[in-house]
Amino acid sequence: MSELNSVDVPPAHLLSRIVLEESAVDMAWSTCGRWLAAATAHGVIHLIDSKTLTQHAAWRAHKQGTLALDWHPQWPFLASSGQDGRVKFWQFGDEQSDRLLADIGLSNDPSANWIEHLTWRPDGKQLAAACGKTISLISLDGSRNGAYTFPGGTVGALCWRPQGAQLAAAGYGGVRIYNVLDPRSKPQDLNWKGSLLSLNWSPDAKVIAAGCQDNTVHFWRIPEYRDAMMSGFAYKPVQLNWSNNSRWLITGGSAQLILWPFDKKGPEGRKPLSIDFHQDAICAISLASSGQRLATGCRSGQLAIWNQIGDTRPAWLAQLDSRVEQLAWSPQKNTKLLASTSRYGTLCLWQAATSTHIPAG
Amino acid sequence: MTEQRIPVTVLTGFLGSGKTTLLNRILSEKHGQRIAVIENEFGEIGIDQDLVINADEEIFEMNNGCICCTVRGDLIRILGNLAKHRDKFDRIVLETTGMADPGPVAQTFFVDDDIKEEFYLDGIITLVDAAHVEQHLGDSDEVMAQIAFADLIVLNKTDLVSPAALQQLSSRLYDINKMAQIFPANMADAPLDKVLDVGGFDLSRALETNPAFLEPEYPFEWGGLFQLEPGHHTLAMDSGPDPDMSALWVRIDASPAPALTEVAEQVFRYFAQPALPLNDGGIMRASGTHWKLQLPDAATFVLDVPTEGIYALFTQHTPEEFAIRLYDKHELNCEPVAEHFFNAGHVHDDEVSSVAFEFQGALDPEKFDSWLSTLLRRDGADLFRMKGILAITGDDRRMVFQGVHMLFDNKPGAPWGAETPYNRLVFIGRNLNRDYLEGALKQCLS
Repeated sequence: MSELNSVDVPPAHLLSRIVLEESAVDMAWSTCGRWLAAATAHGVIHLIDSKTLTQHAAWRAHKQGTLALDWHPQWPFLASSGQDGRVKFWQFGDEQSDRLLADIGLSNDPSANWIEHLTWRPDGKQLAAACGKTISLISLDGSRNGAYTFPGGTVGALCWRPQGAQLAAAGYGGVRIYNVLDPRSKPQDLNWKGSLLSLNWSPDAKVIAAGCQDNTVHFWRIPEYRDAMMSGFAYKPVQLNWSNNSRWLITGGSAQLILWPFDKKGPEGRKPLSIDFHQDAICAISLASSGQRLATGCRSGQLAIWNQIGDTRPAWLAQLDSRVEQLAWSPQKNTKLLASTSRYGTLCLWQAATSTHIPAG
Repeated sequence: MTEQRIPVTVLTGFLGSGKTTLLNRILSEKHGQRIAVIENEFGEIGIDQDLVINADEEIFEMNNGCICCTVRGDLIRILGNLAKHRDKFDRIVLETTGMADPGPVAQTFFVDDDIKEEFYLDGIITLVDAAHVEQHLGDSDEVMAQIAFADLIVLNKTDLVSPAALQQLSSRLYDINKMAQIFPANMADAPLDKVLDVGGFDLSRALETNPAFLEPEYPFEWGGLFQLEPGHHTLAMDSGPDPDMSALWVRIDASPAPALTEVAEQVFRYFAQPALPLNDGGIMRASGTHWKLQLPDAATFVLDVPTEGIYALFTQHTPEEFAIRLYDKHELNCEPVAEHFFNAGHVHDDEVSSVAFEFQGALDPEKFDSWLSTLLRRDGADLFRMKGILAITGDDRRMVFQGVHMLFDNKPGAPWGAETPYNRLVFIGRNLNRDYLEGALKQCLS
C-alpha cells in the first residue's frame, strides 16, 4: 500500500471480490445494469448479480475457451462465442438459472474456428460475429442472415456505427464498412497498410479510430474519409474511448492518459492533453455512461478512478493482484459501480467512493 | 533470475520432412512438460490433445515497409489469448507450414512487447528430409531460409541415404548454417531434451550449444587411408559436378597410422601449394603433390605405390560425387581401412551461407556500433541471423549479441577473468562477403 499512500490518493471502496478460475477474456454489463458477465479463457461464464454483489451462476459455456461476450442492447440476453466455432445465446432472470436459447455453429474450417468478436447492432436486430476472416450476421432467433469476407485476413475488430446499420470491420490492411441493410451495396474501404487491432466509432459517427499493431492510432473523418495518424505510444494503443460529446478520444498504450482533441479543429498539429499519473502503461479504460467518470488500469495492476475527464489526479486508487485486464462501469445512470478483472483472475466490484477500510488481500 | 515466461519451440521444414512426426513424439513421449500446439500445417495429430489450435499463417507488414517490422499476426493473436491461461501448459510448439519463412516468426518475439513479456522463443527446429532436400537446396528460398534460421537441424530419414551422401549433405548444411547443431535422425527420433531446450535466442547461452562452431575448414571433403601392396594401382573416376578436382596422394610413414584428422593437419599445407594439372592416365606420385585432376569425362590415374604400407588419399569432393574407385594390380577394388569426411570451406555455391570469425583484441564500442548499424541498415534484409561474443575496450565482461535481420539485441555476459578476451561471431545470410566482413570487423579493433 506504500505506493498508494505515497501519492496521497484515497483507496477506492471495494464492494466484492470474486475469484474466477482464471483470467477473464471479456466482461460486460447487461443493459439494465443488473447483470455482469465475465468469460474466462477456460470456457466458463460467470454471472454476477449487482443486487447481491455475489456470483449468481457460473457455467461452462464453451468447450475450448470463451473469446467474446456481448449483451443485447435491450434485453437481458447474452451472446457468447468461443474457440469451438460456436455462438450461443443465453437468457437470465431472477428465478431461472441460465437458459441456452440458441447454439449456432459458424465454422467448419479447422484453420479458423475462433470467434473472437461479437457485437449487437445498436437496434438489437442482429449480432455480428467474426470468425477468422468471415463476418456472420445472426438474427435473434439464431439464424444466419448474412456473411461477409474480410479482405485482410482475420478480423481484428468489429464496431457498429452509432445508432446505425453500418458495420465496420478492421484488420490487416485497414477498415471495411458494410451497409447491412443493403447487402448488394459496395462496402467502403478505408485502406491503411498496417495491422488494425481495435476500432471505435465516435458517438457523433463523424470519426472512426483504430488502434494499430505498430503502436499508433489511425483515424478517418467521415464522410470524406480523410485520414491521419497519432504515434508515440509505448505499447499497442488498443484502448480507444470516446467522450460522449465526441470531443475527446481517450487512449491508453502508454503510462500517460492521452486525450486527443476532436473538436472542430481536430488533433492535427495540436498537442494532446497528457495526464501523467500512472507509473506503467495503461491497458484498460472505461468511461461511465454519464460521460464524466473514468477508470484506468495499468500493467502493474494499479487502478485509478477519475471524477472528470481531464482531471490531473484520480479521486480514488486501488491495487489489483496483477495486470488490469478489463474495466467496466455499470451502465446505470450516474453509476458509481465499477467492475475490474485482473490477469490472475480476480473480479472486483468497486464503488467510486472513499473506502472506510483497507480491504485485505 | 528464473525465467517466468513460456518457451516457444518452432518446428519448420519442407513438406514431408517429418515435422508432424516430431510433433507427435513431443506430444506422446514422457518429458514432463504440458504442451500447447499451434498448427499452421493441418496434418493429423496422432493423439488426443486439448490444446491444439489451428491457424493460418498471417504475415503483417507495417506501413513503413521495413522488413524487421514484419510479424506474424496469427501468433500475436493466439499467444495473446494463451497468455491468459498460462497455468494450463509449460511450453508452446508451433508447427509452421512447409513454405513458412521463419523470419517473421522470430521477429514477432523481438518486436511485439506483449509477446515478449509473456513468451520467449526457445529455438527454431528445422526438419530436413535427407533423401529429398538436395533438389530444393539452392532453388527454394523457403528451404534455404528454414535451414539458415535453425538453431537445430534434424536431418531426418537418414536411413534412406548412404553415409557418404549424408556426410556430404551435413557438410552443405553446415556451410549454410554454422550456428546450428545437426542431429541425424530416422522417424524424427532426435533427442527430445535437446529439441525442447535449445536456448537458441537466449543471450546468456550464446554459442554454448554449438560445438561445431569454428571447427576447422579444410580444402578437401574426404580422406581415406589404404593398406596397399607395392605395384600398379588405379584411381578411377566418373565425371562429376566440376570439370576438375584437387587431390593428394601421400605415403604415411608412421606406424600405426595416425587418425585421419591428424593426417589432415599434416597434409593441409600441401593443398596450399599451386596445383599441378593431371590428365587422364597421368601418374600421381605419393609425394604430397597437390594435383588438379582433369575430369571433363571419366578418367583413370596411376597411383604410385613404391612399397607396402599405408597411403592416404584426400579429395576435394566426396567419393560419391565422382564415383571414386581404387583398384589394385589385379583390378580388385580396394576399400579404405579408414575414412573421414571433413568440413570443407566454401565448396558449395549456395547463395545462403554462414561465415564465422574468431580473433583476439578488444573492439572499440563506437566504431563497432557505427559499423554494425550501417551493416544492418544496408544488408539487414539479407542477414538472417547473427550471433556472437565480443571483447569491448574498457569492459572486463563479455558482450553477447544476437540479431535477426535488422533487429539486434545485446547484453553483458560473464567477466573474462583470467581468460584472454576474444571475439567470436557468426553471420548467416545471403551473398555474404567474408573478406569484407572480416576486414571491417578488424577495423573496429581499438
